[in-house]
Amino acid sequence: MSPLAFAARRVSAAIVIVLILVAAMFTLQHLSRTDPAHAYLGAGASTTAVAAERVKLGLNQPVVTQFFHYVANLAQGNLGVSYRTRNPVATDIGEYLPATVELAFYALVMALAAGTLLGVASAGKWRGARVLKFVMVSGASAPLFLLALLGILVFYGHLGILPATGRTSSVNPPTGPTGFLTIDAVLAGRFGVLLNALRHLVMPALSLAIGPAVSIGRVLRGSLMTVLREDYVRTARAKGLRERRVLLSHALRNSVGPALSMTGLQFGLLLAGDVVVEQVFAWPGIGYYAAQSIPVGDFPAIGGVTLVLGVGYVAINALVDIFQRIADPRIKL
Amino acid sequence: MAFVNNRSLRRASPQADAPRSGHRRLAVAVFAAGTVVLASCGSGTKSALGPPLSTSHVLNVAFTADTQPPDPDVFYAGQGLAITTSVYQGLLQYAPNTTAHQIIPDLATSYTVSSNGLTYTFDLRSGVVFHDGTPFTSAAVAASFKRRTAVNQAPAYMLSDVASVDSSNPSVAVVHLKSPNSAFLDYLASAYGPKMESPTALASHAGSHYDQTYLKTHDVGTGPYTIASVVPGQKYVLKAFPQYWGPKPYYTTVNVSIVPNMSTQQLLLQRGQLSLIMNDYLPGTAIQSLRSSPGFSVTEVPTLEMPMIWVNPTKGIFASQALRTDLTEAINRGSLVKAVFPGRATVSTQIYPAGIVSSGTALFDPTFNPGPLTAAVSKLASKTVQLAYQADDPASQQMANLLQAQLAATGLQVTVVPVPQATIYGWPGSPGPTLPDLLIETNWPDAYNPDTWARIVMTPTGGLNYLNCSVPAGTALLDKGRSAIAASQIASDYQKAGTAFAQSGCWIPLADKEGTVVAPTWLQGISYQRAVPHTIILADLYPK
Repeated sequence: MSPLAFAARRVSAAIVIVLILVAAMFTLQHLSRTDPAHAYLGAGASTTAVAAERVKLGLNQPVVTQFFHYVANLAQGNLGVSYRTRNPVATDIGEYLPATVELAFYALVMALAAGTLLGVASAGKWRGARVLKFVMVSGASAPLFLLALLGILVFYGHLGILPATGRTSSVNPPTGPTGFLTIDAVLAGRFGVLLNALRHLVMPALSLAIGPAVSIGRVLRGSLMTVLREDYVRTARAKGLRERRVLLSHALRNSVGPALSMTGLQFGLLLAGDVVVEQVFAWPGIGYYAAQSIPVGDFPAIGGVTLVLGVGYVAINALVDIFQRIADPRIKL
Repeated sequence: MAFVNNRSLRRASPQADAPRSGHRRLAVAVFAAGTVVLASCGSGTKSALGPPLSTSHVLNVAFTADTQPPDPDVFYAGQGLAITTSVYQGLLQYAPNTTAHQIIPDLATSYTVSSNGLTYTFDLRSGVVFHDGTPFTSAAVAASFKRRTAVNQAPAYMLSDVASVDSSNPSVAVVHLKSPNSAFLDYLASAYGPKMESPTALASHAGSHYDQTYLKTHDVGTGPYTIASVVPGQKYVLKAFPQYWGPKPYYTTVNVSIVPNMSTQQLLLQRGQLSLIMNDYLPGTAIQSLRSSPGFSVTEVPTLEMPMIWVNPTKGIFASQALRTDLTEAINRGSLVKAVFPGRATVSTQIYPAGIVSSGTALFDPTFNPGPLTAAVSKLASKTVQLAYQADDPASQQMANLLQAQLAATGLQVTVVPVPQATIYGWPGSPGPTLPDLLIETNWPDAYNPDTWARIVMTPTGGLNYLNCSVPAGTALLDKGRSAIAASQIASDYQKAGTAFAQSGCWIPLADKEGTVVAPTWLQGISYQRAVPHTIILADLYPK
């Protein structure tokens, strides 16, 4: 199969998964027994107001009709109106998503860096590798909310070196053009805001990164150990190359495949943890938006966030597969 | 995911796994120990002394969740009342800092009620200016009432009896009702009641949804504060309104941030980044700790909040009135309240929140005696009971768990189920057999009036009559009390209605609960308006 055909099949599979996700979300919404009209109007709303709202929301139509309307609206980018904020969900997500993407990006960078360090140090039996592994496994073993709270307690409460909540404490931070505060701060030449934003990023990003970092590190270590037994590595050593160079220049490049695959998987876990971390750190991203929407049964908002995260997860994994296929033509769908 | 990836993972795993399990167990143990040590350091001397005195004119407070839009005709929730009541004002208000039911002027300086109870005449305060600079006149009363009715969200019911508003005299508003409504003045004084909105601003920003888009991020009120900016989901900034007709607030800026985690809020308070915690969600242990810290004061604020058990009379064993009565006696409310709200609540003795009707009336005060229920349960074929509680409320969960243990002692097999609030809202009118047998939730009336509690919680059309109990005699008396004119008749009808509701066994009031405000000792002026929680008067706060 050509790489193009492989990519086409992988994208088709991703679309089917997203459609299944949409159907599952719609079904769950109907099984939840939460009345959207009541959720929108509040408990004290009169029965006539609730009945009128049900008609307005199309809830008086057959379920199949509602489903087709739902899918048709989604196809047009219409995710509905949030019962809580009273804004179109797409608008809300547009406001909250950049913060999540920025956090996820820095968390992923941290996870890759720490995971690579862990994998290479463990495989190369570097000095301090055991300590590093112990610290990281300790962090990854803790429930995410506990890790986040502990981070706040230590670095904000006791040491006072990192902020506890929010994305920035700068006055009038730049709000565009990208929505990514660190980039916008650089574009605006406000390096104080950049520094402030980075300080706010450290704890939430680290909390998110530590679990995936350990998983990536373990897979990379295993892969490296296998590669280090290959003949060409023995040849490299026989040529007199230093062990560090053998590891970094020869073995590492041929070992990243499984770690790359694991990164795709871990990205999903990272997004799942994002809801918890954003809630603890009051990080104004879509996980926080979803967490605020759940108690009030704001299904359009919950569904919108689920769809965005689901599509993101499916897309990332599809891309990882496609990249791996390009790197290794033996891979089949 | 391509299969080769998974194979790669499986191949890699054993090498990594061999030493992992032992390390992992040790890591978990060390992490847990570290957590305990660090947590034990959490009440160090720095926090015990409290944050230093701040004479800055900026007040920092936090909500645990983003609020509904601060639009007074839409807002029908809890914490956001701190914003709506600081920005908007109604014609009347409840007297602050008293548990007495006392309605006093706000934007109306006085009022009269016609002998037939159909006409209310309000003399309006002069010199009041809206935040858009236009003067407050009777036209605003008409416009505000009209908008609330048109928006038709939950609080609209308070004006359903209004026939018209005569605004021909700018300094007098005459409200005509379709039928007498003895709760009408309480509606006007309620934090959820109709607030005065600038007709000019409303006309300028109406759009297609009666200003609802504009009022998400702006205000059109007369209060001591005006909404300066809103960052959705993150922050509300209120600024003191320079032309405010009343005393000028000390704090000229109020920053309201959203901090969902209460432990984080506590840390922010201890480090001086929050000026006070005015919500009621700090766990009991944290409150006890702060109460004993010299730098902080814990103030109990009277509210009309009432944790209560709803009983489903349409299914299972509690379809029997006798068993419902036995259930009311089998619950040790004293121990339950003491365990969940230590020092912050008293056991209810009336079916209404305390003080709404005269003490000694509308009684609900069964003597704890699990014997009758134990005897009755022993004869039942099915002993299973489903007990639901509001999922996002730790106090409800704690009460549910304790109640489960209490009822298990009578032989009942109780399953505890968390249910989201929004799902519970959908239960009124649902078929009874699909609902749980029992529900625990905390609520409060919209106003200091029995009708605003019983009509919503205990009548068939009430939005909080979750388990659909119908007590026709009580509903009829409630209707009678609402349309009565003589004060003695009103009181008598509501008291009798309360007795009827109490005797049904469909509702088991647990406690009359207070709100809790935690602040540094230097923060003074903690004033409140009873009835609903979250109504600390921000404009009254000042540093010592």
